[in-house]
Amino acid sequence: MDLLQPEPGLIFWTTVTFALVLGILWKFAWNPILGALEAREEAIRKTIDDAERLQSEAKTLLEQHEAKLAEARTEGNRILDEARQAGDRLKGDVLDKARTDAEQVIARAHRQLELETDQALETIRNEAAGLAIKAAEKVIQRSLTEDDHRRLAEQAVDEIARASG
Amino acid sequence: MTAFTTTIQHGAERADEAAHGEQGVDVVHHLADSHVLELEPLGTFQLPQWEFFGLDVSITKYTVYMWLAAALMLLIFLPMARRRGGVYTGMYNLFEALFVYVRDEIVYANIGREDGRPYVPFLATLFFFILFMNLLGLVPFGATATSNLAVTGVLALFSFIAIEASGVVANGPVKYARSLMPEGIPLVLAPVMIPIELIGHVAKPFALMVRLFANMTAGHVVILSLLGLIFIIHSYLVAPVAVAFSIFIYMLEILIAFIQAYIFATLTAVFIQLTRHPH
Repeated sequence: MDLLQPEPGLIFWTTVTFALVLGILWKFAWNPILGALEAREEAIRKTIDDAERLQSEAKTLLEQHEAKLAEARTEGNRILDEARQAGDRLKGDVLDKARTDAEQVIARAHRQLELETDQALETIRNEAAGLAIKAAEKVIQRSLTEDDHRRLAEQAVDEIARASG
Repeated sequence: MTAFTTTIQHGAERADEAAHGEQGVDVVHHLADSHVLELEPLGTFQLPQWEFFGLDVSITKYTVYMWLAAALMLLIFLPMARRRGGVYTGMYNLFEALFVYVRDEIVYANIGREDGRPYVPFLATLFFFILFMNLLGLVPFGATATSNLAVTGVLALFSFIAIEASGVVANGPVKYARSLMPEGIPLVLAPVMIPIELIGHVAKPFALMVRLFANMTAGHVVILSLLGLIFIIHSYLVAPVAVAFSIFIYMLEILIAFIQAYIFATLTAVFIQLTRHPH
């Protein structure tokens, strides 16, 4: 067989084979594969778009949350400051009140003490007078001289005066 | 005297052996189509010889390898089309990558994304059919069906039909026929212009036919010639050099197998685009 001489048999079979392969693959392979590829490319594109959209959404959400967090933090600090100030104020008030109360109590106690001292002195004075009188009675019962009386009386008066002084 | 005779006799033997050796690597015999499948050392198989209405439609060596290429295509791409979802691995990815390459770089790059879609099946078939036939010539016992003018001629004819049909579909028959006579050219030149345009239309597929045939034949001729050197020079010293060179050419042929399939499909796509938008 010659190298440059086309054989009619080969022409025939090439035509038949190529036409059959073309027809079969066109219907059952190329178009389905083409469709599947395009569907997959579309799906990938959509997935990437979705991911990008979700990422940007997440980013804005994160920013919002961070802003809210910062806001909450300053708010918290403000509340804490206010509470601290209020506490300080309250502490001052309570201390002041306690101090004045204590002073009042002390003053009242002083007054009471003076009163009771006065009463005690009064009582002692009365008691002393009573005792002097009783002593005088006893001396008198023994019938002392007039000098004795005088001396005794003076003595008693001196004692009283010393006690009260 | 005896020594001289021996030399002569030896020389004669050599010449005889050389002649026999040349027969052993007959380049044309190897490249030409035949009714025999040579699968040494398994033996040779006589292929059936048929006639169909007086036409010789025998199954030949190239027919067998063309069918092998066609069967491979069906075996690879039909299951690929049925596959849905899941993780794609191995061979699937290889052929999908090739198919996507054909789609994007050959069809869409030349014809356009929207317009090119209907041409994807034809050009993909063309590309893979040629590629598989080219590669089958590189396996042991294989034969390159594309190194035959009948095969490349029929493929070019299909390209021709696709190119002309795309022109008619895109422009309508009247406008497409009018493109044979470009506007603005004096009517006097019509007898010159129209034949030139017609020749241009025929020359394109003719060039496709010859290019593929010549490229696929040339590589084999070079390899066989290099190996033939061993038998012609009749020396073991030639063998390493010849084998090394033929391995180099073989590697080149793998590249050429892809390049020629690419060129055939790409040029068809380019010509389709040209006829879709005449002048």
